[in-house]
Amino acid sequence: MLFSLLLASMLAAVPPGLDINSASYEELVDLEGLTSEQAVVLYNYIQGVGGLENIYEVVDLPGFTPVTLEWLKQNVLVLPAPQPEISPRILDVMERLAQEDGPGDAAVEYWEDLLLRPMPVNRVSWWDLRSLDRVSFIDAASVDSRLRTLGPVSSVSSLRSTENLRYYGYRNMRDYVSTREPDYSSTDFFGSYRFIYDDTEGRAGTDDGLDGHISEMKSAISDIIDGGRELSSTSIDSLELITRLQSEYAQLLEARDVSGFSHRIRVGAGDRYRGGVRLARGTNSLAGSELVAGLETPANSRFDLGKAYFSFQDDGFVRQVVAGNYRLSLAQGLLIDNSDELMYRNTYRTWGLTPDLTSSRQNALMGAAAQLEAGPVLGYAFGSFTPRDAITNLDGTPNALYQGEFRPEEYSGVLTETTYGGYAFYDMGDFLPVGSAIGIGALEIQYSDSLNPAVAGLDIPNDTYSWDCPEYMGMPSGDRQTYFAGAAQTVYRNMSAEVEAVRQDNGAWASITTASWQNNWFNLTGSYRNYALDFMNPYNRAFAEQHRFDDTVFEKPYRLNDPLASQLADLPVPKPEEGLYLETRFQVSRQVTFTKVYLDTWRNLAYNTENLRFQGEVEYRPVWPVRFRLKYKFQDKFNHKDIVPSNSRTQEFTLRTFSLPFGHDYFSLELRYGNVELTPNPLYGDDRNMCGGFLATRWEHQFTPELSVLGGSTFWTTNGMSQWEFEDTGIDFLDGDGTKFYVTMKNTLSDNLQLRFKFLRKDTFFPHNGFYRPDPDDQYHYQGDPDETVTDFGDHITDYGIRCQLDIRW
Amino acid sequence: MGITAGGMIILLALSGGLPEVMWLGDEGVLGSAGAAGMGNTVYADISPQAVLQNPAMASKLPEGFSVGITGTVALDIEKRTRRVYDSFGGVVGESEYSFNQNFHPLPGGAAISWKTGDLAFSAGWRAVSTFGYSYSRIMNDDNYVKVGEETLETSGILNDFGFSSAWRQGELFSIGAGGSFVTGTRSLEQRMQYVDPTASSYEIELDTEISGMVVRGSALVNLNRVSISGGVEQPVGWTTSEGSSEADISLPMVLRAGLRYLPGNRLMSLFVADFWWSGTQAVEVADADAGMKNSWGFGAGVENTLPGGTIGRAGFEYDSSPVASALDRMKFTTGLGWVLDDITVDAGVSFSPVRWDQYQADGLPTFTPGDSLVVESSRTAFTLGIEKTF
Repeated sequence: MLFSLLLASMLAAVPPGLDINSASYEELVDLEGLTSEQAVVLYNYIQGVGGLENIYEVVDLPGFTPVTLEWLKQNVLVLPAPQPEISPRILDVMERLAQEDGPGDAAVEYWEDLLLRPMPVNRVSWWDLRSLDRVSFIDAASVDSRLRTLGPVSSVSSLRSTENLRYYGYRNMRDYVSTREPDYSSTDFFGSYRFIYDDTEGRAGTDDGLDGHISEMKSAISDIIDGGRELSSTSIDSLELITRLQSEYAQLLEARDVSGFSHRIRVGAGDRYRGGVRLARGTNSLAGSELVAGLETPANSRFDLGKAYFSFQDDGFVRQVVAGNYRLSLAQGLLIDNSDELMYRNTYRTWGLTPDLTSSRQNALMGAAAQLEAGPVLGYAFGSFTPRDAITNLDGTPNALYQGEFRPEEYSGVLTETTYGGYAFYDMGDFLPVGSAIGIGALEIQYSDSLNPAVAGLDIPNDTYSWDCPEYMGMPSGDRQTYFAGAAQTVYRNMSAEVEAVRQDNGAWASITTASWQNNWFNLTGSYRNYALDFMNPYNRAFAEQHRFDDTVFEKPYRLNDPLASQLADLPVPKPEEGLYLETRFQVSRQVTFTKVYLDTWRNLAYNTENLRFQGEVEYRPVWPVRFRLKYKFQDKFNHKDIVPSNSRTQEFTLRTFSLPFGHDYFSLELRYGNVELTPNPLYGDDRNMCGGFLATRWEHQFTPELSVLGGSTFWTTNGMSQWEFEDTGIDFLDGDGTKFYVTMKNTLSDNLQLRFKFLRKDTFFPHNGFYRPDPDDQYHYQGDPDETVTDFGDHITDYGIRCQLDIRW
Repeated sequence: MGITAGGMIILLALSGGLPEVMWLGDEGVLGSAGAAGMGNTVYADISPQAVLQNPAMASKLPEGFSVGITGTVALDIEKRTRRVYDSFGGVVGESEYSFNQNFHPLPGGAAISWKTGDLAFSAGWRAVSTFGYSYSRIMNDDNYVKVGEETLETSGILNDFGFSSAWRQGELFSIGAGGSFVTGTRSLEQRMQYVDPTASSYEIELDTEISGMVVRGSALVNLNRVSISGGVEQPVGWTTSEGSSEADISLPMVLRAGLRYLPGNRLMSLFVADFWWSGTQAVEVADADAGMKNSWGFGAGVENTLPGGTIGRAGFEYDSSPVASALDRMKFTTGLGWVLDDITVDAGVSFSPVRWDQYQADGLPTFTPGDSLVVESSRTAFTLGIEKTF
């Protein structure tokens, strides 16, 4: 309104004349003071830059003279070009969200929607605000309490003074809320399209990458053919096993050249209706990853993930209904959180029901879900019917649900899952502190075929290893599981407490209790969890130190009949463990902050072994544009062994610097060194002590707010201890010795169009020396050429990555 | 790829796992160097060379005469590795087996256009496909004693002599038509020289003549800041000949589309994209089904005028192979441009990595029967172009 008034007053004040910013080509040609050549140049320039900021810009155009300028000053107008509908700050946040990956996927899309159509802050409750990025339970409850006691706010900045709301929480909240009132009668149509081509995830050289699986599969096949496994004395049909492994091997080879695509369309109408579709194909997608198994069309083999949803907002007691794919994350994620990823040591989680167009597959829910609100009762109800992948026994029966990147035909979609349940919360904010609530929930999972976790189908018979994996023995069997949950939470001033407990129908329990205290300078979070060995809920994503199958036989594919079954290690479910976790952040002064310090002591309930992990990070900021961070990590972990338990002690030192040396440049450097000390064991040989480290640099130059180029380079060397590094859009695995560099260009062309290009080259070297062997029957040789011996060579793997992302909005 | 790619199908008999150049040829620079830096988006390019491909786009050329010329150098690196196994069949690692590096200066194209009012014409020559590839290796026995030497060299070029015309109907709509005569030769020379004089050394030389025509038509619609064009091209009368033997090649129609979007910002940004699809499943050589699948490709790129006036470009291209998905090709491109009065100088760089498996092929190049090799190759191409308007 204010802008309109200003514009109207400006228009009234200026003399009549042609606005050349909005003039057509013909109108410019008809101007007496311009030649036709000048009109062409001026028209093209205005089209290119979106409009003149002032008339004096024309003096830089070819063919324009001071006389031309003077004539234009007297005879035309330069009215301001229309301002973008989306502020640059919102585009910055979108840019940051575009880099997010993993479990936040679903929420990221929801947040993107909120950036364009913010949440009406005067109507929100604590559960609405808990769905926002890095807004804590206390932050959410504080705002809810302020609104209930003092009434609506006239501007979002009024929330800044809310008691017990941290500035950090306010800052993360302000872009997603506004004081607008929703207009449910509106049918304004809006939407977006995102295309991604991604060949950067196909770094096949890692142990659990494609080449690693190909290598393991080849070895297994050779081993069986050469009689290395004494299968004749067992019930395993060696011919059947080889046929399966050869089929999987062929699928792995075919997958080597498959790159990833993703198309995502989302649309909306007003504040009430939303819809979306995603079609995608994963990098290194296997034959079993067809969109619809068995359908013979080119499109079916081109895509391996299809998702869609339609959602309906706010009508009576119905807050939201989602039909199609949805994601649900409630309480502390012990009963229901259907992400495909379990984040280690994550105390922050988003709450709520959101449509799901993410890359998650194995835990995707497809059906319908509703969020209902009646008085003080908040309820969620959901149902789903979807195919699921599973490791299969040789007779074809499903052995165990698995979530793997590589999906052979033998594993993919072997059963269907029917899931339904609900969670209801009673809000006690009217007579207890706002945020207080209790809840009960239930979850029922039914499978079309009985799960039959049989060791005989996995363990290589008569090998030197004895099967010992209690975590596997606790995997569910049969065709049905039921879970009941209870939850409670409260907030008092700047303190909060939450508890959730779930009981499985086999009598096993899991529980987690979390308490926090926060202010602007200090926060402390403590969490106690206890997940029984027999407790196995595929939708459990609660706080955890380890995945269920970390440090088990499933990390050793050479000990499995089918090496691809090792992907069970990726199952995103917490390990049976009991532990106490403490985490704090403390800002000592403007210059010194302990950014994250935590201590986790936990017991692995599979073996009752004690473990400890500590990490401390301190930041020193001598002047505003320069920061130094020093991080130390220590982990002491016991692994069960038959005779003497082994022990590993890991230490890691990281020094990072961030600086803004010039106005439009950002520079960072990271140096890391780590070492692992293992219990002496003949199997480890000289590798009792392992180490590794890297040096990584990043530099980003911003040409303009719309265009920036980021370059990064890393050098690393390892001696048995591989390293993980955060790249700009994900985590990279560093092994051997090597170098890499990448360049990313980010370009916002307009409100409607954003582009990102990334190019990466990674060189990894594995020296292999001293291969001379005196025994002529035990030599290294080339593939298919046993007589050609190899005594010394260097293994050099070159990976290229190209990623292209295009976002269109309307 | 498209039409000229199909022209090489007669060579499939030699193609058992050989580099793309052996049957499809490496696509040349069909448009300007600027387009080469933006994902090779020829169908969205406004240059004298590109309008030979998309005739209707000539209506957006500047008034008067325009001349454009491009040239390219390409660096091909090919690494072949063999896996090393222990006596139990376990993989120890990969050993580099042979390494070929070739540096090719290649012609690009040259064209002239003339636009007056609502009419525009263009004519020119383009090297639409090239066949530069060389390979050599020394063969050793089990004791690493040299037993022979093998070399393989291919060369050749496929020339496109084309013309086009366009007619503009107001600011909104333009149509165009054109055609090309395509002719060229691909030469192959393979030599196997054994140290042992009793072994049968041999040398093969093979020259293949290719000729044909292409008819093109396209339309262009200008919608405020967006220009959309679409068109078709139909190959006609394609033949290949080797000595006295001759074969007809039946090539399908290719559908193409291009898009230009001028968002209007202080970077004077330009977004371009193009797409093509061809029913190559219908390709026939001497009335026999060539066993190919339908193919398609797209490119996208962006251009920004940086502070100081230099133009920066980046883009991406993906082309599916009509032969095998393993030969699908992606390119990452970037480029710079400078405007000096009425002369435009553009430079583009493209990088394209590809990995494929070489299996036993009768002939070229040889290796131990039953063996299989993983071949990693990359092409880095530098393109330079100049345009001048009179």
